[in-house]
Amino acid sequence: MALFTFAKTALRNLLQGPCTERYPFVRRTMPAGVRGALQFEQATCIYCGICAKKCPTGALKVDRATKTWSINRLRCISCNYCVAACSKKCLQLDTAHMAPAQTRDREVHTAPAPPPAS
Amino acid sequence: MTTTPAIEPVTGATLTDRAAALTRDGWRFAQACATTLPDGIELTYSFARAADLQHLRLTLPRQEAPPVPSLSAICAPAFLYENEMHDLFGVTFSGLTVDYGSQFYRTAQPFSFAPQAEPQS
Amino acid sequence: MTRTIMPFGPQHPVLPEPIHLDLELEDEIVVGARPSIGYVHRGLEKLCETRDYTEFTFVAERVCGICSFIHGMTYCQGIEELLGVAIPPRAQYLRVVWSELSRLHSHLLWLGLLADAFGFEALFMQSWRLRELVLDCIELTTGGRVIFSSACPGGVRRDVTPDQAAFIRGKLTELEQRLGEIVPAFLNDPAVRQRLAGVGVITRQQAETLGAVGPVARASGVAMDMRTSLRYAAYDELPVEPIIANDGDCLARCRVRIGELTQSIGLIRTALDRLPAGELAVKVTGNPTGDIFARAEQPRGEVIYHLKGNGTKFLQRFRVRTPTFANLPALLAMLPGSALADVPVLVLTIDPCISCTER
Repeated sequence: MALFTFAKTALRNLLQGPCTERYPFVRRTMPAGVRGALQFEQATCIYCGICAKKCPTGALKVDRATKTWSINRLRCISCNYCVAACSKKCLQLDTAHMAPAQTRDREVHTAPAPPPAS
Repeated sequence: MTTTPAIEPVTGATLTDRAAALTRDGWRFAQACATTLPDGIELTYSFARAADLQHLRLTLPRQEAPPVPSLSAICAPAFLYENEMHDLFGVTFSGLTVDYGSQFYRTAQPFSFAPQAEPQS
Repeated sequence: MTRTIMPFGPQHPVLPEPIHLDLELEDEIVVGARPSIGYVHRGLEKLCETRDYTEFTFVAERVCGICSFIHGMTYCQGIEELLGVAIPPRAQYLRVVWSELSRLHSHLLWLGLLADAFGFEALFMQSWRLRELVLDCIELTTGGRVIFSSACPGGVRRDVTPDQAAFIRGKLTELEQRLGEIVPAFLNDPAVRQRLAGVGVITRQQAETLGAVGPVARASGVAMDMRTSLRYAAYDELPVEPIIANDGDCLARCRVRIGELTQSIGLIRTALDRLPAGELAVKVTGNPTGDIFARAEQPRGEVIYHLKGNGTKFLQRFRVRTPTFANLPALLAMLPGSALADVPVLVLTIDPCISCTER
């Protein structure tokens, strides 16, 4: 049996101050490889639809005819399957977490129409 | 982990005897679960001893299945699994040492895992 | 002598997870307990009918947030057995590293909750502060703090580079040193002993008859550890023995889990030292058929996975028998005769993971 078992820890905590960071004034640098929000680069996408097939939650939908790529942000679990499957490497997982969403709508990206041939 | 699990089919009459024999041989009751089959419900009881597992399997018809004799008098922890199987699958047991009615596993829809009256498409 | 029925839960002071116990009290002594679960029932077992077996790993690891990796890994082990796939040795060792990291963070979480259960909030915060060291290691190597998503049927999805291994070793050294500072508060402090010693005694006979698993069984003298009996993943090449205590009370369970913390730190170091080079995963094709029972040692005890395939890409049955479910009879045996003030400590001492229990 010992007395004052916690005293040293308590004293040190008192003198050292908080060990937590003062978020949002101080933001943490996330290590590389953290699975955060999905980023889509439209310019390189060929609308093959493999990412949508691989997605385990059905968050992604790709329509080749209308050249549309859409994501339901609230369904994405940041599992990295689509990133690994994409042959054109147009998908990346950002280290920042998904921003809070206010609606359940899908985020739709449609390729811009090609310039009219003159 | 064995490549082919040792599953022994039993009937309602032989279930308690086999379970008692396994318990006497030093097998510990590990788990019991129910699986919905296209034409009925299948109960699997697992017993463990060191690195081995042995299973007893009982098949029940979909409708009007007779009550299954409970193993709770032989293997004390079985009562919890049997209450769960009753609450989720609607299987009835006779001779439960501790019966929680249907109040153990409360779900909004009772017997939520039970096979539906019409087969699903 | 007044007899009252007190509903304990689903919101209660001991866990963030809901469990309901109807406690029959005579004055302040518990004479009976009636459990009622289902508050976080998500029907995950039924999801196997609509998610194909390769995607189902993500569902399996979300059965629980604390023992997430080992759930995913045991599921993958079951699928690999069904399809007759042998995974590469590097994947086996990486699975061990992540399993032991999982065990570390789970036990540290439990130590914190135990301190909170008897009101020692400062010790709770210190335990969780140590847990952050482990979570940093997990976040660096798998990309997520709680849900690892790193096991897949056929192996693992990510690698641990030598830099990451060095980072882990550094954190483990720091963890060991700081753990040495808070462990005396759990084991030697007279006020803490008064709440833990002699409380909730389960004899060895009771532990065996009631089917207790994990640290609850080991604290009552039953030498049961799936890592030593089954030697799955890379445990056949690593030194691991069950940590036993004989008193069977809450203090013994606390001692066993603290012993496992030290054991896990040693196992991670050895596994990182012996990490073989090679592939991370093998390709898995085909559809599973037949029954398989896969077992592993979670932080809470033995978990049994029953997978049943019928030749399609959807499993016919996915059944998880989690260790908390196996320890519930032991809890119901501990409660009668205890004081009401000890009920939170008793409920916590089996390390309940209600998400696991209810799936």
